This record gives sequence, C-alpha cells and structure tokens, in this order.
Amino acid sequence: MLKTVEEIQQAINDIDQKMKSSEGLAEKDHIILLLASLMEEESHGSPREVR
Amino acid sequence: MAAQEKSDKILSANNKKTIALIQLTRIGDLVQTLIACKPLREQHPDVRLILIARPQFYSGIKFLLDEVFDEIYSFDPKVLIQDNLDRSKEEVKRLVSRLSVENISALINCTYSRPSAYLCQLIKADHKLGPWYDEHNNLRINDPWSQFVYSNVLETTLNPFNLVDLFKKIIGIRAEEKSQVTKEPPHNSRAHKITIHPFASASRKQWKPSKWSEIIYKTLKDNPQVTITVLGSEKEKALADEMISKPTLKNLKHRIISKVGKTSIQDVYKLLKASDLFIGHDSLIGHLAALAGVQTLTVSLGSVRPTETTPYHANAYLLSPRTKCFPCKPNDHCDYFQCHSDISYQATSACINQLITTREISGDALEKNNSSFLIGAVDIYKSELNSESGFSLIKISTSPVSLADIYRKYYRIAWSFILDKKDLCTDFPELSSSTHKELYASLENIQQLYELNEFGKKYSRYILEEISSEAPKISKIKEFSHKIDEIDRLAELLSGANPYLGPIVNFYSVKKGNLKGDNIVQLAENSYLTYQEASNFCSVLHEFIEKNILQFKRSDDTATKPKSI
Repeated sequence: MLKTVEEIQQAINDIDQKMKSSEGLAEKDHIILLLASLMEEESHGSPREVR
Repeated sequence: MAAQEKSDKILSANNKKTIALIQLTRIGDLVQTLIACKPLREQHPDVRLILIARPQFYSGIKFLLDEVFDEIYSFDPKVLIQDNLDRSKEEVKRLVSRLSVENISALINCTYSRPSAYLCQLIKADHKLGPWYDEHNNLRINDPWSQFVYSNVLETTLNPFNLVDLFKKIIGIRAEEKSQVTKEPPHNSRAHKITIHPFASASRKQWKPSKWSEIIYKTLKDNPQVTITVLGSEKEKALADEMISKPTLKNLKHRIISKVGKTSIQDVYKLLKASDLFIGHDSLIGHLAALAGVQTLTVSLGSVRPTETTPYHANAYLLSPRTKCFPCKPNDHCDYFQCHSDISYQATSACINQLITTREISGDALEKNNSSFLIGAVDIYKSELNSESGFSLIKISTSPVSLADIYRKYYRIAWSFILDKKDLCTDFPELSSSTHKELYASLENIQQLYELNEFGKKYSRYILEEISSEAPKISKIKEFSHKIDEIDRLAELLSGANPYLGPIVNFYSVKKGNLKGDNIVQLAENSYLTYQEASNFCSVLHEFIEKNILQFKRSDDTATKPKSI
C-alpha cells in the first residue's frame, strides 16, 4: 500500500507538470487522480459526511 | 459461459436507452436515490437502468435496489486500491471497460465527491449530468439542478427541497400522479406496534440512551396496548442495553422487544412493514419506513437538515428544535448539545401519545394540554406530497415561523420558477413582528445584490462591445474582466453580511464557473445572461418580501387571512 502511495505521488507530480503546460490530461491521468482521491477519502473513513 | 450470457444480455439491452447513476455515498442516500428512481422505472419500463455504488452500502438493500435497477456495478475501494499501482490501474480500467459496453445514453452523478467526479470523467456517455472533471482537471457541472445541489445543499441551510425531489429534478423525472404507497392509518384505530430506532450516524444527531428510556417508559405506561420493538446494529448494542436496562423499565420489559444486532436490513424492512408507527432520528431506517409505507415520527438533531432528509412520504411527522444554531455543520465544535435538550421527552411523548390514539398530531391540542415552556422550544411539521411541487414540510405547531423557514418558502417558489419554469401557488408565510422587521431590513441587501448583478451585465456587455469594435484592445477586455471579478467578490461579501442571500450568490457563482462557450464571445454572452437571471431572481425575491410585508401590515390592521402569492 505504501508503495502504491509513493507511486501515485510521483504520477501526480507528472500530472501537475502537464497541467502547468496547459496540456490536456489523458485517461491514464484521470485514473491516477481517481485512485488518489479515493485513497484520500478512504483514509478519512469512507465516505466523509458532507452534510 | 456466464460471461457470454451477460454480454449477450447487455447487447440485447443496448437496443433500449441506458441510464446510469453513480451513487457512492451511504445507504441512506442510496435509499433516497432508489425512491427517486422508482417512478422512472414505472414511467419507462423500457429504459435500462444501472447503478454504480459501493458494495459496503448497496449489499444490504440489494433486495430493494433489484426492483428498480437492471444491473448494479460494484465500485469497491478494496478491489480498486491494490498494493501495486499497475494492478490498481488495471482494476479501474476493467470497471470502466465493462461500463463502456453498456453504451450509456445518460450518466448521472448523484454523489458530490472527487472520486465520483473522476469516475464520471472516465465513463463514456452521450450526456453527463452532475459533477465531472474535464480534460484540464476542472470540475464541471453543466445542469442547473446539479449546480443547485452543489451550491445550496452543501453550503447553506436554506435549501427548500427534499433530496429525493432534487435527484428527481436532476434525472428529469416527471412528478408522480399516484404519488404514494403509504398506507393511510385506519381511522379510530389505535397504534399497537411501535418500532423505534434510537440511533444515528453521529452522536450529535442522536439522544443519549437515558432520554429514550424516559420516552419508552412514558409511552408504555400511558398506552397499555402498545409494544415497542427496538432496532439497531451490532455496534449499537451497548447503548441499547443501557437504554433498556433502566430500573424504571423493569416492570415493562415484557413489552419491549430488542432486535438490536439481531437483524439484517431485509428483516428490518419486514418488521417495519408490520408496524403501525416508526419513531427515530434521521437515519437509513426512517427512509426504509417510508418505503415500507409506515407512519414516521423523526426527531431531528445536530447537523440534520429536516427539509432534505425527512422520510419521503405523505405520512411523516417531524420534531426539530428551535435552537438558534440548529442545524449545525458536521464538523462544528459543540460541547453541550443544546438542541438535544430543547426537544423535551415530555413534548415528544405528547406527540407520540397523539399519534397512538388519533394517528395524527394536532398543534392546537398539544398547546392546550401541555406547558408552552415545553412545546414552545419545538417545531412540529407534517409532510405533504404534491404531484406538482413534490415533498414539503408544513408547520403544525403554533410557535412563530422562523426567518429561515420564511426564506425557504420564498426560495422554493423562486427556484421552481427560475429553474423549472413552474409557477407554484402557495400562501404567503405568516410573519411575526420580529420576522417582519428582519425582512424589511433585508430589502436593502437584496436591492444591493440586484445592482451588483446589473453591473455584471454592464461589464459583460462592454466586453462584447470591445470585441466587436474595429480594433479590440486586450487591455480593455482585461480591465472589464477584472471589474467582473470585483463584482463577484462584493456579492460574496454581501452574502457574508446577510447569509439569507447565500443561496443566490452561491448558485450564480457556480453557474458562472461553468459558463458554456468555446470562445470569449460565447462566454461573455453567457456571462451577461447569467447576471440577467440573477437580477431577475433578486427582483422576484424583493417582490415576494414587499408583498408579504404589505399583506402582514394589512392583516395586522384588519386581521384578514393570508392571501396567495
């Protein structure tokens, strides 16, 4: 799991670079962002109550 | 072989339209989504309806979901998050490619979370409703009712609509003609079997066990024919034991049946169906009771917003505290839950006794037979389901209508008119001298917000004029654009000073963030139209308040009855 977190962090850094250069994101980038947001949500006890 | 059969099933189903819903939140939200989709299934049996949900939430109510949805796709974090990134990516791709075979006509994201918006981005569909991320990682919400949910349900306490109605509005489900399955309580017959669920998802939303013990004691003592079944999950067992083991209940134990930790959700549903009355806090069980068609009495506390989550049926009663800070936000710090004390066990028992004996609550009778000190701290509502306007809560207690309730009524009419082009006919809210004074003071703020929107129109028009001039200057366009930013900041400051304007400012801020258009001309045109709509909204609200104040002054003079808007 820890390895996955590190790999995702690295992938997100690459996505940030892409976004800075106004390049559109590809499907693989959105998959990374989905996984990152899901892991963050899970770490708060899924899913956080918003209301 | 099974996979082939499934693929054939999907391919044959592809001849009909497919609507997919993403609902990744808890069971209560899933039940509300299910209630919203029921009429869609009835009105369009030919549509293929699919649901994407978390198995931890849908598995318990699959027996109900299967009646409405043709297929449920599992969005399981345990499967999607693996110990290796490549495997995690493969799992997401597998889910997305299974969904791509569905040939989805409309994908509707009913969840307002980042994972759901990214999932919505990845799934191919002809139309997308609800939040999703575009290729530049900007959150997009294109349809007005999803914009409304995003800007009002999460951010203000003045949303006048039940979540079921909001899901229906997003999906585009017509109002139901035969709206309810709730069995009408038989006249002159007392309630015998009461089911209670004295728990909720957070401690701020539920009373302590000792208060429930008092209520159980009073109900059983006053009504010798009544038995009470207590529901709850395994983790609530200790609290339930504390509640039932009070010495006062010792001689009444034979009339208390505890099913806490002993039932599946399907068992709970069967128990509810056999009940005469359900009493509980805001939780999944209340929504199940509405589905089971049993009368409900909900005690709303803490961060619960009664308008949004009261069980969706025509036979719902609700008690909510008149505490100033109610409803709070889930993360607000609170050492002493004043709202828990403001609904006394005596007031609750008085309501329960009325429901047991007459199957309804009368505000007048309550006031006549109980101390105003106890009754005055509680607002009591009865639900109303209307094929035109959906679900609403009608106040039946005689305490003055709060300013928040008055605004909710205005907003209900105004949003229905602006977003649905529906003209709701309803009475003016009744004003007291204090709400009259506050409304009168609000008129100036509404006027200011109107003027800000008129400025927004003016600068959007200037941008259009500059673009269409012979030699457009980018510096001029930037200058007007900065002015527009300034106007939006001032509108936010105004809503900070008068939170009752928050719904308008928030909604049009989200709408402006999602302007349609591929070029500056289209964006400026749509900016102009959005400010125009916001101006109209302010005019409508200003007019309501002016008329209501006038009507109050007249009725104060002549004691006439309220007239319709």
